[in-house]
Amino acid sequence: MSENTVAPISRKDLAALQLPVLEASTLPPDCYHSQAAYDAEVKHIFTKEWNCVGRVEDIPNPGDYFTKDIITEPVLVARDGDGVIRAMLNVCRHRGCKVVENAGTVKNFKCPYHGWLYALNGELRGAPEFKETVGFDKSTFGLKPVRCEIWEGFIFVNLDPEATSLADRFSEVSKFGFEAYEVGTHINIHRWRFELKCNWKTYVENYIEAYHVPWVHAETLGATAASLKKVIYHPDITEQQWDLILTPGPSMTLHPSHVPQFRQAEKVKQLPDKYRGLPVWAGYPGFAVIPMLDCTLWHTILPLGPDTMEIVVGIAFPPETGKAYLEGDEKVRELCDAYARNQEKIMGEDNDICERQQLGLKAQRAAPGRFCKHEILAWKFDNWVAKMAYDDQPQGGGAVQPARAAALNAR
Amino acid sequence: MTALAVIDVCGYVLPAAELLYERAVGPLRGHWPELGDRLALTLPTPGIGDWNSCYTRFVSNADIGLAADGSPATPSPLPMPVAQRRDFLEARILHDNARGRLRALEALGIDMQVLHPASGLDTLTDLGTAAGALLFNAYNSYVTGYCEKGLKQLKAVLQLHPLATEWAGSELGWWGAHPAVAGVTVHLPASVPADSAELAEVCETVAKAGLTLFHRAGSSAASWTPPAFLSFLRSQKLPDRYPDLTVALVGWPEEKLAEWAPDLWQWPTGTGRVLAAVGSPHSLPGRENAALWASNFPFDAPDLAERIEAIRKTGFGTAGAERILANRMPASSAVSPPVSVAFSA
Ligand code: FES
Ligand SMILES: [Fe+2]
Repeated sequence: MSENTVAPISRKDLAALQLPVLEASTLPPDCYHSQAAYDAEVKHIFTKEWNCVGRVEDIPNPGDYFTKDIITEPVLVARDGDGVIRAMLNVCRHRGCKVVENAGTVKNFKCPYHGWLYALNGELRGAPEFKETVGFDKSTFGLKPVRCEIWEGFIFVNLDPEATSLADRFSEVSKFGFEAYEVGTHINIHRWRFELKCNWKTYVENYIEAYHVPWVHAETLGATAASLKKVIYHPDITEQQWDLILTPGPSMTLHPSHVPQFRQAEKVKQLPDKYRGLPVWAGYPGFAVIPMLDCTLWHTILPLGPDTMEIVVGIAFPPETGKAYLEGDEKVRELCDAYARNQEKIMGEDNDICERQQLGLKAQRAAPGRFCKHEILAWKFDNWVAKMAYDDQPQGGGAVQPARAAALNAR
Repeated sequence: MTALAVIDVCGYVLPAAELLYERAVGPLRGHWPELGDRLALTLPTPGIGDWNSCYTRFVSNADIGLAADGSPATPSPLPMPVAQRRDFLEARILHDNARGRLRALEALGIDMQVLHPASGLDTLTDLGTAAGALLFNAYNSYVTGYCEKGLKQLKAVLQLHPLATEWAGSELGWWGAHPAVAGVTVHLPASVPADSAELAEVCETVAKAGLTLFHRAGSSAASWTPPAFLSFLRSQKLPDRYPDLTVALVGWPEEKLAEWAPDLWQWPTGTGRVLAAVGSPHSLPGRENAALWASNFPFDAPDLAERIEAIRKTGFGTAGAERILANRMPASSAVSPPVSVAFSA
């Protein structure tokens, strides 16, 4: 690394990104496909930060489990017999075989290689033929625990044993009205998973700016350029690791008629005006939740490589609706499915545009662009990535300055 | 006054199914998923030396029926003969903490304890002969391994499937001469008829090996009362042909023993005899020489400490227990374990 370079971004490009948003340049296109940028993000972000892997209702009963690979790290999330949800490294402590695949319901986890048997909490319970092995103590060979926390029904894991708790990072969310939506009680009924040919950051930037909405979602969201004026970005709302974008007003539903079909949470009506509307809560690196009038939409994003990513999108409904849906109530099913079809259209639009952006970013002569006022959170996010992953020389001044964001909002 | 030895012929282990799996021979391990329907996820019961987190155990079909829809767990707590909880008992003495049990026995003043399987194994005789025999084999491997942590204090009772005739021979060849072994229980489910040729063959294998037969209530269907079992053995002329054959009755209610008394004690004159395990020195009036002492630890009665005190003072049951422990299979008769076994659940 030369003196003037902060790999994988040049010091000049980093400095340009760190200017106040309306003076700043965007991340250089290289950062969206270079192996160096990807490796740095995996090392400093995805194996260090909290990643959402699912909902508690995915594993409602004792013995239910699912697996999730956080890049190279296979993770297993299971509900124990006493109801506690835990995460573990899905790697056998004998000779490293991946223990289970996909999802299911079991009473024990059995490694397919030599049959080591683990309890639902990861304790090693059966190690056949190890009676004679000298100094072998089963109690020290359980599946490695992975940090796991539940927030509003979402299951988050963190591969860094030293990470600060998720609860501490999201504690202020409640001040801004999130709890009114009762997202924690909602039941997810539809889920989509896409592997997209784009860098994960393109997608995060996409959902934290409304600038694209009138063009990309003209039909589905009925948006016009005028509606952009109403969107409020809250870059200074918290020092914690999340951001809020709010479209003030009566919020929305995903039903194509634009009329909510299900119960709306009472407390939402009592929110102070400044927090009423359609909020998008974005938790970094790759989580977003959009509570609506009568449903919740959520996204999780994980990179699969420098220019590929996975997005999982879910739609959850109030408990009575979710329950009726799962029990096969035909009317409820028909309504919920209409929400889901509508969401599919909107997602399709975002998926296409991000892949299309990636095609352009790969061009050899592609160069950094600029931000407008609607992209302040994208600017803030890009600075966060740069600070977390690229800027390994802190004296270079990589920190995002909240004061700059405040200055912008005042304009 | 010298303290007389306190020998307890009935303590319990309740190995988590994971421990049986671990000790199982290859074919059973490979076929473990086929037994999965009979495994219940079990919440630990505090104060009886249970595991400290959820584990699996074999339960009866009826218990499986009680499980909530979509859940592999049976309602907790499972029916468990818990008389008393003692919070000082170490975790897992029912499972794999043999050293913890040794500490508990020492604290209680029990010098030696014979171990039986608590509910779990008893529910398995309906699995089919091959699977059942393999599971009993796994238990036998488990319990002898458990006792190896304290061979002076811990003794094992091997478990045999009543219909697995060939297995009985290889099982005793495999485990019978283990220094921990105090005898054998042949399981007696209702499905085994009163004139079963297979059962006769299995019992004869035990008699031939010179080991005591433990006839335990928990492993016997209602029809297989002690009088029924003893009369079966007599009908097979086993006491005549094996004059050393000793039968120990364990876990039978004392009032029932009194009721059956006339049928119980008729045994040909040899060194063999019928012995019965009871909880206190006053339980078998007039038959003290046929008595064994049973604590049922850790599912014992609240007054265990006083009972132990009385046992130590009187030496009650010690003579009977010593004669059982003298019944041994010579070490030279041990054979190597079978390499492969057929499986059909
Ligand atoms: S690698 Fe898992 S049991 Fe050997
Ligand atoms: Fe969009």
